[in-house]
Amino acid sequence: MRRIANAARLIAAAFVVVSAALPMKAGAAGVYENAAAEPAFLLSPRRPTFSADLDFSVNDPIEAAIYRIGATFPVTPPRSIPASAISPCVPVRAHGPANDARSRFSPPS
Amino acid sequence: VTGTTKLEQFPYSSKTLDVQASVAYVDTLGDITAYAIGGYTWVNRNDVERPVDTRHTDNARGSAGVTVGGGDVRAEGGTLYEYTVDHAKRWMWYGAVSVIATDALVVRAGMQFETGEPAQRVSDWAANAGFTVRF
Repeated sequence: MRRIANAARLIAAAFVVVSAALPMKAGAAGVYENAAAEPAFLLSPRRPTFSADLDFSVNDPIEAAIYRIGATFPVTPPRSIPASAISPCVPVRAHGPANDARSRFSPPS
Repeated sequence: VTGTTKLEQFPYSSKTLDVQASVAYVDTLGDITAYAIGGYTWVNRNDVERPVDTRHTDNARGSAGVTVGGGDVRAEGGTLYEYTVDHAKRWMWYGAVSVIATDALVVRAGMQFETGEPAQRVSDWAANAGFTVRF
């Protein structure tokens, strides 16, 4: 009877030691990071947006689904280009002696 | 808004304050975007009962990536490295493809892998799909 009790104590002690020595999987406690989301705020969007994402993560034996729903707005409204910044438009004839490459580079007759 | 089917695994609220500096390059046509980010995150709910590898603690991080593509298709790739005050390390890589389906709709899909110490991984791999509507 004492042998059985000692064996049981030994097994229990070994179980505790092994449990303490084995590192727990980080998936049980860690924070999931979506690396692709890192540059999300790098550039201000030009237009308001609505986005939705679904991640399926595996950290054997743990599986999880993560959803994200978000919206972005431009910090400043799109700027319109002032008329003065636009160079004057010179009408160009599509055809004619001045714009015809053949007439410009053809040898003089 | 973020949610999950395993709340224990993703305590988002423990990320309290994040300070970062970033630098990016965008070419004139917008076909190439490259970025690098360095930052530091302070967290709360630091559960000291958990093993060092799995404890969520203050951490420094660095990341870099590039987006390449013209027209309606773009490919993205990058990496993220984290180093905690408990000397735990996490290193992950991602790749994704975005397609501009219409002027208003952008769809994307990607994969992410952690290549750091197995005991310190939160996610061995993850698949992602999503869309953005532009107004």
